[in-house]
Amino acid sequence: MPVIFGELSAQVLSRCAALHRAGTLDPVDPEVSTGVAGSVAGGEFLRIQLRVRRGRIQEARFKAFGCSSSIASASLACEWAEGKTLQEAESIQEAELSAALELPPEKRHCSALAKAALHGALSASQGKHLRSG
Amino acid sequence: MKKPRIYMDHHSTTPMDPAVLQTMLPYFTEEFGNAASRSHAYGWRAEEAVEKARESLAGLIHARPKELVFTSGATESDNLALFGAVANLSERGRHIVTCMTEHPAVLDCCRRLEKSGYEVTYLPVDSTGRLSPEDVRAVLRNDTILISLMAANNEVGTLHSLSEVGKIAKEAGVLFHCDGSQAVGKVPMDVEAMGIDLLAFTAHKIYGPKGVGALYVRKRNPRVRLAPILFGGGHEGGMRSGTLNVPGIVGFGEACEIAGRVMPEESARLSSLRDRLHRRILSELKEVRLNGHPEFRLPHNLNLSFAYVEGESLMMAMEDVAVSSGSACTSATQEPSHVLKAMGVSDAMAHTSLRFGLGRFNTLEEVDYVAGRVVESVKRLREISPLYEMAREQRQGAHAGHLR
Repeated sequence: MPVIFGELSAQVLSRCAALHRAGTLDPVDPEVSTGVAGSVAGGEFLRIQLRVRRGRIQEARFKAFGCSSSIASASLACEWAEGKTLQEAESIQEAELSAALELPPEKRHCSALAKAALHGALSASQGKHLRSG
Repeated sequence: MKKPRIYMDHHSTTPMDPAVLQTMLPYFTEEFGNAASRSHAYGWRAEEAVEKARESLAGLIHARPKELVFTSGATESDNLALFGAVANLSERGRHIVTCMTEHPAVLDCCRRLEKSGYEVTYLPVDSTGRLSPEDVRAVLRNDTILISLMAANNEVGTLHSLSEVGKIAKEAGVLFHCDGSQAVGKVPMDVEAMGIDLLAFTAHKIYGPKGVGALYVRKRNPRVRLAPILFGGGHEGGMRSGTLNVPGIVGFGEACEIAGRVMPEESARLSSLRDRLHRRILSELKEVRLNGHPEFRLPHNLNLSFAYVEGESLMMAMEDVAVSSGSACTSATQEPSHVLKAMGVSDAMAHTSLRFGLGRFNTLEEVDYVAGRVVESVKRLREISPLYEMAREQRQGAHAGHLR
């Protein structure tokens, strides 16, 4: 069997147990924007949604098809994004997510995926903002 | 990490039967002799214990004791069988036939042999993981020297038609090696009736110790000659040098005795528990797919794909239950199981697979507990799966369209 993973950190396990900020925001809502990353065939697919009002992230929600480290990364990225401006949220990097979750090197792509989904949602929101502005 | 409370990964390894341990203990201390020492009673008694174990192994697979060579495990047995057999046959030909769903212990040997100028045909399987014996016949050539096929697959438990393949091999005068790691001691194996010339198996899959295995090497019709891969003393008829692991071999013998005795009852009990686990899961969850053959399957194997839920996250969600998954998630590899792929399972579904391997000490209560944990965890993870949400929306859209 090809599964290879070492021991998961307490942070990853507790995030997967709690699933903080898992959920869906109404995509029809003009304040909501969505970013996705990964592929189903690759075994990991993340979606992050943001509700942005006056340039600040009011709510961030994720859905994940993927291993525990991707679920934990998406959950933490959402937690960090809430309350930040779009610009501030852009500074959330995979290295910080990996460090906070104590991801081993072979799992760093999980936090990279969470960052990619978050940045997708941020760009979508900026696009909306430009169009409406 | 918390140690799982329930072990249901018996394809990987098994706990040692306490009765096996008891037979081994004296051979670590007072009966410590080297089975190759001919000059004193320490050696004689060790040798006697080894020969008694050899008889037990032979009885389980319907072989003669002299046809068994002790090794360090099934991987070494597979290596000895493949490299040892082809070395003596390369004058006759350099073509080997095997199957895409074999264990790496065979596949990696084949890849290595390809680098040394051998040609290997990797036969496909159907959607249940079964190889068609006619496919074997169809690819045989004048220069084919060896067929290597596992008895039972380690991931999906599918049993191959060994007797038919053995018959085809005999007719063509080609040696037939079988990796019996998952099957010996679990389902009846008969090297005569199945026409097997070489059979690899190991103690730790049948409630014996780790680090000891065996290779059956046919001595008559035909007499199989192997070139050794280890040198230094000419033990085991020159086929496997090295001081014998006497306590391990004694334990292996006892494990085979027990397996032979309890097999009918144990396989009936485990397949009934396995079917109960399957039924309970299906009664609560939709879109669960069985990987493997519905009938020709190891009695203790259940491999299921739970659509929309990635396997590793599911295993971690029920961390008090030890199972395996066909998913893989490291930056090094995102390729899921080669077995499921060969069976035509999509990568997406392969990533959602979980393997349950029931065993001698699992109880009905454990099975019911595991079924409950699986149902609860799949439901929870489907709630956070974007794929489940998309599929649900599509279904609702289709339904709404239908109403209009």
